[in-house]
Amino acid sequence: MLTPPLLAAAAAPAAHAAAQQPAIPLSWYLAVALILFAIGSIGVLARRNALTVLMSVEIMLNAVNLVFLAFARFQADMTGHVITFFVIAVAAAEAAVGLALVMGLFRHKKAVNLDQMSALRS
Amino acid sequence: MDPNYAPYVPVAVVSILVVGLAAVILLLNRMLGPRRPTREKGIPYESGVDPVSHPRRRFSVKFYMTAILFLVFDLEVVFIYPWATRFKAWLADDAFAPVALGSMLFFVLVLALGLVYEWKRGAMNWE
Amino acid sequence: MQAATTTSDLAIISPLFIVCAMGLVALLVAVFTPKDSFKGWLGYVVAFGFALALVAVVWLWKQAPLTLSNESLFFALSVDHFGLGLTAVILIGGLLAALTAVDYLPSQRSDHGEYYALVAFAVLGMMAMVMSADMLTFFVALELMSISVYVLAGFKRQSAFSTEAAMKYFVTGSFASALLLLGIAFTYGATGSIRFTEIAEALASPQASLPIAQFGVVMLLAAFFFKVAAAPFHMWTPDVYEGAPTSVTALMATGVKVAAFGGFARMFLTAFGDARFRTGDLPWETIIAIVAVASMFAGNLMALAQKNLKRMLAYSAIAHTGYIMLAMLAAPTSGDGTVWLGPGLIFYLLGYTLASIAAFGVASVVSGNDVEDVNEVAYAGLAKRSPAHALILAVAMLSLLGIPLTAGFIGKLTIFAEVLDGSHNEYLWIVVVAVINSIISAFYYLRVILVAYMRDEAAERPIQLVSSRSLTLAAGLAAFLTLVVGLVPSRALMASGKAGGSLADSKARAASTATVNDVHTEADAPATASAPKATKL
Repeated sequence: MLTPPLLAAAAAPAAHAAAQQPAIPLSWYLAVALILFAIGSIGVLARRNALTVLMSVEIMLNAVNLVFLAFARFQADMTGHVITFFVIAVAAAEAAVGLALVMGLFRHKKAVNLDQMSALRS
Repeated sequence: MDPNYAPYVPVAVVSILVVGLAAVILLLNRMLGPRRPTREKGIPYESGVDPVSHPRRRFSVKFYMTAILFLVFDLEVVFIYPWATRFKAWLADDAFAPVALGSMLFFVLVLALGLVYEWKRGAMNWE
Repeated sequence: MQAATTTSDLAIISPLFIVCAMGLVALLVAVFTPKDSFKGWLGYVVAFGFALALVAVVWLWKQAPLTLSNESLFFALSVDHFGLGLTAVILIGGLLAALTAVDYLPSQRSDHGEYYALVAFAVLGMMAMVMSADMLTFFVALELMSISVYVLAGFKRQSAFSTEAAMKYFVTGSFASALLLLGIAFTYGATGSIRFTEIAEALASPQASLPIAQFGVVMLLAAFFFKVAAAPFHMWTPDVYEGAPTSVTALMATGVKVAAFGGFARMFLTAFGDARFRTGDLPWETIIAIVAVASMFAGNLMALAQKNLKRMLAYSAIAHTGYIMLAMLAAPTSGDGTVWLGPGLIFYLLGYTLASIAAFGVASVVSGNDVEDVNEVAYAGLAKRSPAHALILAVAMLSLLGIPLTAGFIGKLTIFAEVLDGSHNEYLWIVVVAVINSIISAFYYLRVILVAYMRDEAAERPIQLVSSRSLTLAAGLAAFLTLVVGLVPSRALMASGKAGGSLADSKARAASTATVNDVHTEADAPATASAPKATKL
């Protein structure tokens, strides 16, 4: 059989898939998602370029999408898929507001560096 | 080894072959080929049109505006499409059909109001 | 489908609809009127909309708990006394906050109609958040609120302060949203559901994967602490509160906090409220106790050093987060795992909302013509320049401090008594810590009154006050209500108790629809019927 087992499982009915263990275990998906999430959070916390921070937030949200899809797939439940749609839409709205804020910041500072936000001292 | 991974073995073999071959060719090229760089050879598009300006110049904020608008409105399809695929099944249910249609109409109404707002604010003017 | 109800679904969600419609109207008016005309009247329109929604909420309160017959709504929103009570608090806060902006925004040269649309949308998000009965509604409502408030924080576009505050709030806020989502994802993974009641059921079964749920709960807690500005995650608060326009800060300190506390309290108590979990397998109660203590100390000690009124109020908000968290600690549980809340949380939130609006209202008055810094000079000797405003400020400070005869006092008393009763004096130490913190806070609250009444160096170069009837009305009304609720607390306490107690009904409510639910899962996805709900790694 040359078809990769994951594809074969996807073609089979969901109830059948639950009985037959898919090739790639759930923990692998979760590991990838958590690594992505960690990359994103390090980006938010450590990088100083506002655009990089924005992209890191998007990476975090997409990592969560992966978690939702993995769980939904392995539980043969639709809820996770639906949530993913909502997360995508919310992420777009967030990105739009974020880009607008970056533009506003640029107007004041002529730079998009978060280190230069010093008018408010903490 | 887990027998489940057997189908992936050929993929792994091909991957290793491809990467290895590319590495060997590049290495040979570097070791054997003569290198006499000139200015003409260094520019991008050696035989093409000369670049007219610096590629990294700042471009107009209007591009961002369009990008944001596209991003937000494009993604609303994410909700309309699944709704459309289920709508025919919902039509059979007399109690639920008006709700299904009404909620999508409300959704589209809100979107349309957003569009009206943008239009009037001049986000789509590109003089 | 359900037991026949007399109230139709549209009527039940009418508060949400009214506020949404107000937002859309404000948006269209903003764009169809000349750019430099006075937009303050939109503030009155939106405030009227909030009042209308408040009337609807009171009308629904009398019939609650209500059952939505549309299934997708039924599982998304729970219109019980808890949701309606907190919605009322949010609407009062939103109404007064909208009134404070009417003349304040022109004084800051930022009079745009979009402001009121965004306030309406933010309030809509808050209302949906405290009514949400599943994780998805909760998340979308929270984002609606947060995204609107990000924009509001940066509303004074020509000010670098405001833009910076918005950017800081955006970065921390979206980070918190990502943590929240990860938490939701892992609870979904552990339990196979996003509905609060079903999560509770799934966790109670032995199949549930507790490590996954534990990780999820920790992420949810982190997001909660970010949103309510609790101690280890409070760093953004002073900067954002100071930089944002004062009328927005008023909304952030009241509405956002009420919504975050209400929404998360419902989530934790309904979904993870089983006594077995709270201090055992998913020890969120223990974590909240530690964070509450840290917030109280961090807020109160830092507030001592602040000269700027808005910054001081930001640190005081962190301290109050600590007090309010105590109310979540000792939720009473009956034998079958039904959890409810005493009146403390909701009553305290009401008192805090009123006092904060009064304090921030006066801060907007003294921030005069485009002053960025609301420091001591701005309100020194206020009693001589404007006795009414000085009195409002004094009432607000006394209520925040918790002096008898104010709402703040009754709120603190109720929460402390609740914690001691609920935990059988196990949490005595935390109440002692809270009382010590109240004493510390006296130093900076009383100093504000002292400066306003005793000092008069501002006489040499007085700062022009914003003269505004609506602003004075809103702040004065808030201060007046603070006193009323403090003097005759019985009705508010009774309503809060009823609201908190209604959390206990969620279980019965879920049981009554279990059959409906099963039928539909089967119809929608025949294959899932036999799939196991709990996942093992």
